[in-house]
Amino acid sequence: MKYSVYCLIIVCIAVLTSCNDDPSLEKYIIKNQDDSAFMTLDVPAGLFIQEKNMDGMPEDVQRAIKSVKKANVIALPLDDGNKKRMEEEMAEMDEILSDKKYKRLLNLNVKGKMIRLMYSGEKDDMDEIVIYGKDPEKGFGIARLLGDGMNAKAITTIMTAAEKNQLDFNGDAFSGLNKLMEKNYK
Amino acid sequence: MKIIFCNLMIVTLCLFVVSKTEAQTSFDKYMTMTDVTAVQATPEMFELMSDLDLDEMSEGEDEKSMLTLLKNVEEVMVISSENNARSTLMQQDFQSYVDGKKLNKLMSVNKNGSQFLMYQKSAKSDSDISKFALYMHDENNKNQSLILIINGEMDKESIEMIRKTFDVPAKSDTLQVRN
Repeated sequence: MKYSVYCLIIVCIAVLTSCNDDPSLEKYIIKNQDDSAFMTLDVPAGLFIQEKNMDGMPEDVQRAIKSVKKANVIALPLDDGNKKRMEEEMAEMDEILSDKKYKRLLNLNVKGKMIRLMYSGEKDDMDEIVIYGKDPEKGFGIARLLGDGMNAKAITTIMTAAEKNQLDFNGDAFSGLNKLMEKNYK
Repeated sequence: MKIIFCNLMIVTLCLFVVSKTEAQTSFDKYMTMTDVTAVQATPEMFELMSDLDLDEMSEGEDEKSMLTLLKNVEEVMVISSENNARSTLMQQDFQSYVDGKKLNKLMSVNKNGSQFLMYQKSAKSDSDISKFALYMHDENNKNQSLILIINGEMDKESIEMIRKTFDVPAKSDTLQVRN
């Protein structure tokens, strides 16, 4: 009896401490979004496609779009002075994303340039979809979709609809993203 | 008695935590090497794909047959390098993988500077395969080395398709080489 009580206590402590220093991606983004070394982009889903433009779309596409709540991009480009910091930040990001709640979908390594695709939540109800890219010569970046009830079907529905030009994208949201890309990859 | 039980529990828990997907472990290191190109699609990926209507999305016969092949697949990994030093390491890791998983040799060809090794593990039904592994090294093609590992059920036709895709000599060629 005594031992089982001890075991219970140990388990409780383990659970509590793991909750407390949970280094989440959300915290990382909040911590660094005002840091000028980082580039961040925060897009509420409404900015991608406005509700009023959704009327003519098929119902399943509408539902799929509504399941995506917002998108975040955070990137740290490598420059002459931040090599050491880059390594530290990359290590921190590796640590955050090694959390078991992130289910890896795809690991890609092209001669040292890495891309990882993962999600958290249940497969029919994803909380986050995360794309993590690292390039030893350019830096690293995270793109994250936050949602409620996102699933693979919804994402492919949006992609198919985009291919068929059924979506009326809000140009402003993308010009921000384009600028970020141009700055980063030119 | 209870102490033993507790210890057992802890050990089991630890084992559970460190257990990884099938093809990981010794191949993990290739995911960060700068002279290697590697891709790994995890069981979670294939689980998601199984929810999608792939027939609707695919165009053309080739794509359709490729998707049929992947229907019951659980994990795919491809590692490729043109660095000669890597190829030795890759071959060692490949060998220890197939030995560790007790895969059976399907064929081994060594001719004109190209080397092919194909391994498989049979599934419960005789005609199907549950694991497939391919190693190839081609001196004539930039010293390229390649490892392909597929876990999950496939039929023999799928293997034939993979063989053609990677230009692995057919069985009849193999016999000639052996003779």
